[in-house]
Amino acid sequence: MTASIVATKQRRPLRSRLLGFWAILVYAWLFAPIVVVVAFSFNRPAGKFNTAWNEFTLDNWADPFKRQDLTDSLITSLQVAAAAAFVATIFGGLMALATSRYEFRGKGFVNILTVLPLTSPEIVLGSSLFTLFFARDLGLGFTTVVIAHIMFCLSFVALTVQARVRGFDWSFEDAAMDLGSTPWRTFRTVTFPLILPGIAAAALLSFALSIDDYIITSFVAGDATTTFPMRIFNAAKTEIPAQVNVIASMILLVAVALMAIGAWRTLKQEKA
Amino acid sequence: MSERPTDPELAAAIELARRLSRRRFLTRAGLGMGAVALGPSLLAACGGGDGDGSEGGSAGGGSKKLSISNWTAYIDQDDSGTFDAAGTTIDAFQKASGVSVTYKEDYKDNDEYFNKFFSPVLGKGDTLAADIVVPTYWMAARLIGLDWVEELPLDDIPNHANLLDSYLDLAWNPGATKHMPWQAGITGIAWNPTLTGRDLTSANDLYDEEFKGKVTFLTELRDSVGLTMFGQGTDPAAADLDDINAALDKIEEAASSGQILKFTGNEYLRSLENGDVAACVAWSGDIAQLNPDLGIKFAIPEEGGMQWFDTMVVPKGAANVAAAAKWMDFIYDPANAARITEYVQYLSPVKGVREALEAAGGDAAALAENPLLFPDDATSSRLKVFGELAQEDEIAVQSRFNDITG
Amino acid sequence: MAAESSLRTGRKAPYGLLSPGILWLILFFLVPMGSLLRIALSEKPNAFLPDYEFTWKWDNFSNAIERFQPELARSFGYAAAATVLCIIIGYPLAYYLAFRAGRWRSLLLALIMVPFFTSFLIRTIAWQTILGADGPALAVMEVLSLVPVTDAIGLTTNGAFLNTPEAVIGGLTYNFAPFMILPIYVSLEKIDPRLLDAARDLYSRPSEAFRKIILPLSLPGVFAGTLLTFIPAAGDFINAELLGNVRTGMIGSQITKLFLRESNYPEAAALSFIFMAIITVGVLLYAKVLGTDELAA
Repeated sequence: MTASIVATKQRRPLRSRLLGFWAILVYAWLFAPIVVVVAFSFNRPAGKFNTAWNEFTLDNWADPFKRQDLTDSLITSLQVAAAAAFVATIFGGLMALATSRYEFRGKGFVNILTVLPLTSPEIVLGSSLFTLFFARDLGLGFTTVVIAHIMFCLSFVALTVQARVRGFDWSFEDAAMDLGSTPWRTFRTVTFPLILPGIAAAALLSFALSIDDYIITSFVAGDATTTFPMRIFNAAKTEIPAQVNVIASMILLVAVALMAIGAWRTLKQEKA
Repeated sequence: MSERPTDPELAAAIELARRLSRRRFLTRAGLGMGAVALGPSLLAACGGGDGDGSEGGSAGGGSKKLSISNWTAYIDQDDSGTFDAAGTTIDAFQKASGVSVTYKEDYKDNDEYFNKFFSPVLGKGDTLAADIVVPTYWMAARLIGLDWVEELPLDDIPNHANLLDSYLDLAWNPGATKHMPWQAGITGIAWNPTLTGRDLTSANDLYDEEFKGKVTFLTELRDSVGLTMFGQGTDPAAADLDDINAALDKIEEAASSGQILKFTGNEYLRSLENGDVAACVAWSGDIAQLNPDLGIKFAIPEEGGMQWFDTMVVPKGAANVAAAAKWMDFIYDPANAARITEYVQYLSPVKGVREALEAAGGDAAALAENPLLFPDDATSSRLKVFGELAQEDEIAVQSRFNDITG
Repeated sequence: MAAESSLRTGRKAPYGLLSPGILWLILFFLVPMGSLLRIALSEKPNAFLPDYEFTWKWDNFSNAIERFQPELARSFGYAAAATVLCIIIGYPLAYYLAFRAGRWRSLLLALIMVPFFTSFLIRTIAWQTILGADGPALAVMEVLSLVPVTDAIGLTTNGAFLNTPEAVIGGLTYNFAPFMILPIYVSLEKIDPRLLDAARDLYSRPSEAFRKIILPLSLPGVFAGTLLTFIPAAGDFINAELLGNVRTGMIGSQITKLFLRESNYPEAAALSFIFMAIITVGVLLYAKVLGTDELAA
């Protein structure tokens, strides 16, 4: 007597409904601040802080890049994130490949070293880098920010790719090479496409982490470089123009659009 | 890790399912996650400059560029926060002198700037990116005492003569040879009448239990402690250590009982605007700049208020001292000083500003009558500057205050 | 597991693959830590000058513990509360996504991440608006006349949601919820559906199936989620600064304050190491208790 292969879902109506209701509540909670951010992008603040509703206006969207300092800081953040994500993904991806495919002396050390930055509070990472740069008389600025961001993204990339790649059946590679493919070609045509989702996820994660980082950046940026989170944190103390909400909403729209495309394509594939 | 069921049929079924899922996984994996742009890292240019940390040396006589680090909302700007828009002071200066100005509002806190930039950079003999910084008077006094600022080329600043006389006999720099005041201000109390139900008159009103949890103080020690000392009947200008500690005791008690909600920098304005806070210690110009529709009121406590000023200094080794001199001279022209005062609504250290505002007429003339910008003698006599402390005392007091402010 | 046996051993070691990443971590993580440790054992003869003398000053550590005990306890307390809340909120959601969501699973998962494409500072400022005196949260409570109730149970203080410890914990929970939801989801999703069917055949009640099959198998996810939530939450101080008051200060603000406002690098460094040490010990204990050595999600 073989059990049927297709799993039958036995519905437990009440439990399912409760879970569904809980899910709705959680999503409402997750999106509450987002609703506020987007809603307030249409606000004309009465005072200097765009945190109390005053009156509806479309002016902010008409001129979202009005605040030069905000826009400049956003561009700086994007540049830093692109550079950091690029380098961290390559280095971290290589590390993940190495640790998940090979046994070697020092593997324990590598594993620990990879995880340690994640267990260190950001403020310690930031302040230690500051003391390093300061002791070596290195000028703080764009370069030091990128260096710092690569450092903390490396661990995330390594672990993300490792998690994806763990449990892989590497015999695919062996098969390819038995069939006469060179190692490089094997990597290009067999391995890389297989690990690509992990790499892509890690790159996206690095980019997001880098754009959002405040604490570490504030220590190593020096007085010449301002990233978007730094600008907002300063703004939180002195003035929050509505353009902050507009730019945040725009970033959100782009992210949602990208995800929608991805989800639509996945749904299409699952139907096929 | 996972428990293996021992039933052989079940195990076979599971194995089959596992192979199925692996195939699904590989298909999905091979098609990639379309949502991602691993992307042209064309943006990975090394833009921006590394500011400071350059080799230390003697100050440069550069006169084509100027870099200023100042507090926020301290110079006239247009709606979009552009400092050199047509008609602003910086725009006028750039046209008149040919100097290209980089103006940054990144001076947020005296201690923070000291520990992030002054000490690590100037303390090692290196140079900062900024040619002019605008610390508060006591920080300027410290910098001058440490000899971390340049002597001003007074010959190139004829308008130095327009400096109000009261600034010329300060113990830490007689004659104002190493600094030139930017703006002065008054620390008093601000409140939201709809939340307090009445007008406040005394520094001790902030300790009124009626407003428990709706009061904020400033992280600026001299302001919070100074006003408290006034309320206790002691004199902040004397800066007696016992009196200071008594004031700190009172603040500490109010903080732990929940009377004081938080200690803030400029963000008290947000809480006032939103109604989270009913009353607070505040700076005169901030309140003056507020939208009057919000109904926030400001007053100098009857016992007295704190007087302070922020002042321009040129950090040691700055590259563009000549340009800095031109700027200072330009600012001390009453017409330019009046334009700045009209926007920031603080007290100008320049002679002749009041007359310039009156001559301009309209809103500007109304400002000329504003007692917060041009206090009469009676008001001035109620204002005091916090006295000077010896280095170890200053550090001990600051440390205790930091522990209280959390 | 079949894959383990294909790990290569004895071939040319992959040091080439590793070197750029490891070098980077050594240079920009280990070395700075070393320099920080050195400063933690130094003293600063003059408070204004950036000179440090390395004098094996262990006092820095004891001074730091003594002075900042309340903040240390508070940070771990808030982080623990936030972590527990994240589990309570996140586990049912992860369960729903893994077992009930069907086709919509990927979309719903992606939706969890969408709010986190805005800067966390902006999100926290939005919470200031929501929880503030003029905000919707308080308005709802006032319409329902629930304010005395919430005051009594401590959810609000003096009729305010904002600037309270509860607001800080709420902010921490909010910011780190996805870090709990996603790992739990991943480990739930890995559970073989055949196991569930077998459980249904073997166990009489679904709650037993949950307790004996699903819960234990999801523990690696809970463990990973706890680490990813608790550790950054304990070190976070932005939430406390924006949503809290003078009595909710967390250890991160103290370290920042020591570095920036007091220029007391030795004590700041000592405090940082104490904080990290407590976290490391906690993590190791937690790992032992849960009996798993998996640190990766």
